[in-house]
Amino acid sequence: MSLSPSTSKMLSLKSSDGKVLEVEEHVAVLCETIKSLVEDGCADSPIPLANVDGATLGNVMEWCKKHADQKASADDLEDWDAEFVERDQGELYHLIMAANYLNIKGLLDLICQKVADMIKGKHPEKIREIFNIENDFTPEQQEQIRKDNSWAFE
Amino acid sequence: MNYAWRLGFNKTPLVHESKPNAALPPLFLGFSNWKDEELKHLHRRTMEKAPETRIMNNTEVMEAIGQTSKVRNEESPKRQKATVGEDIDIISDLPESVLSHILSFLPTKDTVRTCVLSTRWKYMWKSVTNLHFDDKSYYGKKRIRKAFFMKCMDRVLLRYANSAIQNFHLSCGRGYDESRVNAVISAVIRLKVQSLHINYNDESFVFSLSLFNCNSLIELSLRMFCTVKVPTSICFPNLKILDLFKVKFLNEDSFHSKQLLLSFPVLKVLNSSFCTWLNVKIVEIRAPALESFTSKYSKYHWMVDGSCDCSIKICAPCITKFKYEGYLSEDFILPSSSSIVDAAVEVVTQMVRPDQNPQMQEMGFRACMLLKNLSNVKNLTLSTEIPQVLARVEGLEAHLPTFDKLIHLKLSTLMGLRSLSRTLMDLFRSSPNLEYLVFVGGFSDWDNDDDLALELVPQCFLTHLKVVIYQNFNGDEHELRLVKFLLKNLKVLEEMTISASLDLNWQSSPIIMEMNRGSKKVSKKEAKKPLISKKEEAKKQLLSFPKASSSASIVFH
Repeated sequence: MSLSPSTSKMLSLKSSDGKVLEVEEHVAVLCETIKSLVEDGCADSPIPLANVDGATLGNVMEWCKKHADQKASADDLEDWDAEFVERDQGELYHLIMAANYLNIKGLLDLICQKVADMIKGKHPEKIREIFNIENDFTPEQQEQIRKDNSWAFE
Repeated sequence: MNYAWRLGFNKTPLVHESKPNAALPPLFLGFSNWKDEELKHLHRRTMEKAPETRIMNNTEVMEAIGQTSKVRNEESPKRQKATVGEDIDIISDLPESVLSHILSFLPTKDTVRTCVLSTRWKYMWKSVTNLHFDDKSYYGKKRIRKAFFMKCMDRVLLRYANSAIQNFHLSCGRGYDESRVNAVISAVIRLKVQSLHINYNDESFVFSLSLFNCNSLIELSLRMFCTVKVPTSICFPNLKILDLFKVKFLNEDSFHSKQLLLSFPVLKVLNSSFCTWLNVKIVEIRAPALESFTSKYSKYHWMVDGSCDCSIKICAPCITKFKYEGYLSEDFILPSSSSIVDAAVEVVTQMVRPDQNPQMQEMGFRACMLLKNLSNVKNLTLSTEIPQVLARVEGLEAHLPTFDKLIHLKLSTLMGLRSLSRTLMDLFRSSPNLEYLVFVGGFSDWDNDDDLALELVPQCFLTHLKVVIYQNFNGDEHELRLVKFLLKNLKVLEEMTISASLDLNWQSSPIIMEMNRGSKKVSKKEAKKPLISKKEEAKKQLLSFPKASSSASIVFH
């Protein structure tokens, strides 16, 4: 990912697989985790992000850059976000984990909403199929659980 | 890499200790009932998957998340699949806090249904503190049975008997048992809900809400066509956002006091649309931290029964945004409102018959009163019929405040008005520092130059007004007169931008023009002439008007 040069201070972020990404400070501080490092004056050397791989970090910063842009309108951002979450489950998983670790509420909410939409209004069998969840209940156990929460299955 | 120990599984034989590089998926969190067989199986599986970067990352992320995840004894790791690649279950690998967050975006029914997915999910729904009930079922959009819907809510709320909930959202149709719904709301309040949204439509319904004086609420949204009984004094100590829609507030103590006192020490945003105050003469809202207030169409039926005229007094010294839409049926008092920077006022007179002159005059004075409260605005939007109402006020200029700080004035849809020009001239004269003027189309009239010749030229025309934007320009004669007048009198104009309305563009498109010509009988000579559209005609005229400011640029598109 390339970022246009700017007068804003640059921060170096180092991913788990050793890739170093140069990011403008006002973009990177959308991550609360990085923001608190900057505020504490600990952001001089490349900041090691041991829980985020390079590709995911690139995606996360792409989102941050878009959302740090003051000129982007709410409608514009909504459309952009809708496109941003069109990814396979693996990528969504990494983005959720990264957003959770870097503490970016907006991004975490966006992806969680996307995953919730994949679950919403679907039968359990369909949800298992979508996410490859293995049903490890015995038929008797499953019957009992359904009975306990029967109102939710009517 | 001794996760098991760190997470408190010290009874488990630590198979992984000897192989420090083996990647553990976060699934291992919280499983204390390991059996040796299972562990071996799991270990084999993780070794197979080890080359995958995803698993490596999981392990690392797990380190960070591990501390926050709760230990769950009832789950077992059997559910894992031996398959790799596309077919793996990723979602179940997410930490519990994240899964719970995902579930909080779902209607509660969907959240609870996830309990049958697998052992990992069995109790997951119980960690969700956002509850969302809607009696429309998702399959076929039919509403579910009322008794059953109530039972669902009771069952879920029972589960939260001893813990707090954050968000409660109730959306339902008519015909529910009053006492049961009131009981649900009471229960939710007892659970210290922070954000409460009720969406309910039943005119005959009377809420006796235990809602008032609730300490935990931060956000409250009541969107319901119901009557809500209120005591004469209400306080929400922590409420920040209040959204009211179609609520009829009924003063419980109508014999003794016709005055309601609402206090919101930390409220920031107050929106009230189509609300009615019954048995009340004065509503006093004390909101020292209020920043934004919107009032739309309150007591919209007052013209019919005429009985519920009341004044609304808002004590909000920090308010910066104010928006009013309605019939000016109530007195609006904004003492110490000098802080308002952005304001929009839209007055609708549809409910008043044209012959009801006294009522129009009353509205005119109320409009003046309202504008007086806004004397420090920077940005002002006036819409629909406010000039029409103001026109009823004799000697308007004396009643208007001076908008010393007004920079940006927007006027929209000024229809059906005879003395529009003079009212607007009064308004311009009251705004000496106006720099930007925007017309949002739909103009009905503008006087001839001769009629305006005696008018005193507003100060802002001579020294400040530099940008004029005219949207939805129809190319009509009176519109051209207005533009001509402005160009002739604006001494420091820098830029005038006029955009043609959809209608003008449509009429001026070559196909439509050909069709129009085809339907008329024209002489041969005329038929040979190139067609000149109304738009081009207007443009030609616009550019020929004399300008008081030689440097002004005119853009027409």
